[in-house]
Amino acid sequence: MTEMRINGVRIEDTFAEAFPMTYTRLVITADTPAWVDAATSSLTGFATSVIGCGCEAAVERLLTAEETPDSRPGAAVMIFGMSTGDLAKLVVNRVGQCIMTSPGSACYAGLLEGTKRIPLGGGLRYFADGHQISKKFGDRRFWRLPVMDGEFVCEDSVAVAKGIGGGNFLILAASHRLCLAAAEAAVAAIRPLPGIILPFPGGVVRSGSKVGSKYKALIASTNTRFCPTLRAVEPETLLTPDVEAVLELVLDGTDEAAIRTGMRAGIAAATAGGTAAGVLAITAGNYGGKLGPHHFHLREVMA
Amino acid sequence: MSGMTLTFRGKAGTMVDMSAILPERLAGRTVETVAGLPLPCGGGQSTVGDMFDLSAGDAAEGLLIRPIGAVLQRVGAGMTSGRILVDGDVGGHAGAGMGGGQLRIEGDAGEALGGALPGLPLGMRGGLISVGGSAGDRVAERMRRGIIVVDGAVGAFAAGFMVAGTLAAGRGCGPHPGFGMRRGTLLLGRPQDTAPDNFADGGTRDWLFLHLLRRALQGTGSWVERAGTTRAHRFIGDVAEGGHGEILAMA
Repeated sequence: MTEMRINGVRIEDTFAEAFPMTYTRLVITADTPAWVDAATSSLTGFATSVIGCGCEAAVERLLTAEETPDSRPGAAVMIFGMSTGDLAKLVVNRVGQCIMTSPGSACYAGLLEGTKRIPLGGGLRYFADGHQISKKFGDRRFWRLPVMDGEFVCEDSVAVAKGIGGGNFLILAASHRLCLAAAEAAVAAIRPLPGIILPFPGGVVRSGSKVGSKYKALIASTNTRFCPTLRAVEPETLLTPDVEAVLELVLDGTDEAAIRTGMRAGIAAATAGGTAAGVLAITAGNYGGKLGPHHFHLREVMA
Repeated sequence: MSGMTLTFRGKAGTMVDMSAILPERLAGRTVETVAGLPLPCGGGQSTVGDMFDLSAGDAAEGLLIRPIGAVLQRVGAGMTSGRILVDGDVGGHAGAGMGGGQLRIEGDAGEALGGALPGLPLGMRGGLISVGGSAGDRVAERMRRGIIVVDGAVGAFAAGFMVAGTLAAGRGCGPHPGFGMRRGTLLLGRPQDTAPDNFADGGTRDWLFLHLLRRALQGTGSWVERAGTTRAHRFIGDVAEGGHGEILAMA
């Protein structure tokens, strides 16, 4: 394939390798947007990677009062895990510790149809010590749990569905500052899109990893081929001498189309300023295509 | 409303047992077949065709019933799916033992709306009943699940022995509400400051779940949809039955 450049930025002939995951979506509401933010920040905290956190979670989008079940400000949160069983444990724990505890909050199912259902209020109701109240409106059951500021209203259960985790692309730039600016532009372009989350801090990863380590206890270690400071001593470095910093965006989404749309929007935004903005190349992380069934070839995505 | 229409053509005041006239039972049947079905009325037996003019249409799409002076008993009783719209008043036991579907009564309803049929232990088990007018005594008696919303007032012993579910009465209720109530919600559209017998005063506050009820009733045009507040005075009871039920009187 011939070389591809966008505004002078080289698009490497490679692909992002992604994996099947299980996901769910919750709708969190509160009295004010600030308390929605407090609740969702807690809910999605320490949820960047399934490797160390067990799940990957972030706010998908903010919701207006007209869009939520209880006519209050809210947010849709997507949580990805490796299996329905994992997700069932993680979600009920996180909702119990992070949403139920947050003043004025409520928690609803944001995914009504899927492969299976996992408990929300159905698992938390026992906290009410016998004073829980079930209300079934239509096909949806809600639990009212007496708490110190009134009632915590929580949907009984939420559906889970098959999604994709690990869509990604890397931005190679002439300086850390310029790399960060390009990454921020990419995040801003991806965040409004439906069905995608960027689970890492600010939507960006600076410590990309490779499989394995010289230390037997570790299953992953720093991605030496993309570390600028190791360029001189890493025989397999993928960085040219003009690259001073690399940042990665990892995308989890509902399906291939969502990931593809997100990658395209993100790469377009990151390369919008071209080489003049210090962005030198866009590449992607993969494991040779042997581990994940979903391959997103950068040049196809951007074609 | 598309579907089948039944317009009463008998003598005004005739009492008709409508419990066999359900959308799920009539679905897919022709007008001729439906007209030949037996129908208990006036202490004897007649046929649907003798008592009603029938329009062509599939009852699976819904049933429109025009009472025109008849006393229609047990309309929608035992219904599990589908939709019945009554363009007028109904007699007793409408929606009794109903398990699902929607029953809309434009006029008034008699006693035991959504309650239990005689000899049966439980009342309504699911679905939605909405009444544009008022309803008689013992509404939602022994109700287990579902929603009953009455724009007008309901009579005595509303939500008596209620097991669960929601009864919303826009213009309040008669004496002895929630008698023997175990769980469930009786929502009154009028303020009330004194606790009914066997109920404890739980104070006044905003109730978030009322937003969910309002959403569930969206499109029915009921008083709950139009209520401008979710603030209500809560009374907890019947304490003689464990005290897990509630009467909410809108503030």
